[in-house]
Amino acid sequence: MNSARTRFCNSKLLKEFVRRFSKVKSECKDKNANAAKAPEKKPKLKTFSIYRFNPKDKTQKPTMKKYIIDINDCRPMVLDALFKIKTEQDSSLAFRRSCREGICGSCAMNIDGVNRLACLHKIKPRGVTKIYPLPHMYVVKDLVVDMTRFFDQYHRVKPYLIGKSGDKDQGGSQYLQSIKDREALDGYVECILCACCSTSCPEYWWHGHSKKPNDFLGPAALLHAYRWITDSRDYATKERLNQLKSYYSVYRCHQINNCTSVCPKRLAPGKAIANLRLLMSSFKKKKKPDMEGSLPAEPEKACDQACEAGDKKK
Amino acid sequence: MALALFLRSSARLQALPNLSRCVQFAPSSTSRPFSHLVQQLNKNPISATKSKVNVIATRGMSADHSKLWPIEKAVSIALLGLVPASIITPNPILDNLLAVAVVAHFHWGLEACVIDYIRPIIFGPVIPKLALGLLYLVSAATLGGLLYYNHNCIGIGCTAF
Amino acid sequence: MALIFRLSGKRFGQQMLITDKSGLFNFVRPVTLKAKPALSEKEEGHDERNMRLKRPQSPHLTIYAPQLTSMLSITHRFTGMALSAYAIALGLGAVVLPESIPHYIEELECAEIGSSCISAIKFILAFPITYHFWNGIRHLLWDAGKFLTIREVYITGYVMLALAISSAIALSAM
Repeated sequence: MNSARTRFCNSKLLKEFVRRFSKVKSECKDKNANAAKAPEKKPKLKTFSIYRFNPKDKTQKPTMKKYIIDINDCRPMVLDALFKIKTEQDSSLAFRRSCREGICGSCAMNIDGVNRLACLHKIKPRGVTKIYPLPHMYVVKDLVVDMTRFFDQYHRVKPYLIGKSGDKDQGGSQYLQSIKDREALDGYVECILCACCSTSCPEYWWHGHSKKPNDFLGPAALLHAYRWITDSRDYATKERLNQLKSYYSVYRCHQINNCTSVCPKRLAPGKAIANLRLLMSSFKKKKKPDMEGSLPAEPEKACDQACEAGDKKK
Repeated sequence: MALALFLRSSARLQALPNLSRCVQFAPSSTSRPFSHLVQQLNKNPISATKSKVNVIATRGMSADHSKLWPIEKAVSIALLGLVPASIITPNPILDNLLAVAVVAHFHWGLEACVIDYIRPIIFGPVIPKLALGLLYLVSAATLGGLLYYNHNCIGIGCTAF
Repeated sequence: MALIFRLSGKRFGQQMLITDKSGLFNFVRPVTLKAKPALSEKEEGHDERNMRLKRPQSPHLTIYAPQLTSMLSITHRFTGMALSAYAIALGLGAVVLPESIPHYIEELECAEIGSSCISAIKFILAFPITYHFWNGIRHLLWDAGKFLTIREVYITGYVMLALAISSAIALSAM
């Protein structure tokens, strides 16, 4: 009986598969056996000195506490070390974190004197690593700081598109933007609002928390202010620039450039502020958009409309 | 029953003046329920904390700095040229221009330093204003002194030379 | 009788209805309560709120690592303050001092200080001028929007430092 099943069982393909599978299996066995015989790696100890503050006992001043971990048994980033400490040694250690890949901006802290994202900064094998919260911010607990004013400054620059006045279709349609105009936003839209830049800026230390409206907005908020001004789809340039004219909002920046040096996404807030100042004193004017007008937000309708417009042109 | 009606209508009459205030959400009648809680809500809560927290005075700097900034930069650029020029070719006009430009430049620079370091949160409401006033005084005196020096003595350019 | 009172009360109520603009008047005893936030954000600033909560401020100057960007910037400020001191000394000294400024310069020249010492003092006096001058140019270029990537900031920084030190040496040798 030459059924399909018999043919398959006798086939060369199956035999080859079985041969290779058993080879892999035996190789794994040998590897495990060898591993069991090999001596274990020596633990490589690393000290972290971390800023601790307990809000439940406010009479106690903040202190630096030392933690020693085996970095051979730890993943490479500082955030992994913090997790290891929290899991194994001190579960009261508080820090913000979310994505663990440098895109959410939660784990910004001061590591070895420089503001960094803990999830992107590798553990240095030598020496003691000092970890502080972001500088000149009010500490809620350990490495968690009060970010209220930072986000409020971001909101005050109106980080959304403001269309032409009397634009009835705002929100219901998509504004057209050429590729070149969109490329002008590169280097500004990538900001993750981690606050590394603002909290590295001495001017923000002195004036960032002052009573509104006499506060310095900081590199992050000003980068976003520039981003919305440069956006070709935005029509409120004059109002946005007028809002920033005070002595404190923009002009406290003396181009120290700590912000550009420290940005984990390699952006340049200093450049944004310089361009912003040129716009404010009318040395530079905002370029006219390459494309104006809008299409419906629904893709099918947009395509139909665009095709019709294309046909009309022909 | 009539008495009851009469009393009820008079209560309504009494309620009327309270009604308009009530609509503006600030009832003050003590006969209302929860009025004591509402009164607490309406009290200025800051007054309770004022004694404990330092009153942080607001600074009154110019609301439109965008007109002054290009002037500051123009003076800086002018100084770039004036300093070497007045040393190489000393003459009264350049000396006086240099005096004015130098005083303006250092005044704006020191003003930024004073604003940065002598802040109300550290020094209280009075000392920052005094410091700024002192700066204005010093700048004015220096300008006077330099112009006097240019007029009565050999002049800045010649001194440097 | 009761009907008369009831009707009169109703008319009275209608008159009140006409005068009352809010339109909320009905024959039920009104109780209005609007929740208000305890602390208006405009009144209590960020500093005041956090000081009330007794939160410490995280360290800044004492822990932040010195970088070329911040060190060159603070040196620009210090040299600016030094130059202001020179100008103020010259301006006020011209008015206040008994003798003329050139007289004092001559006195210094006559005083017996070693030539190496004089060179050192000249360098210390000239460095603020040259540093502030060359870094000033760098600042003006930044204000024009140039050289603001981190690579360019560092390169121009080193170039400026070299120029400042060499021109200070040149001035002190004169």
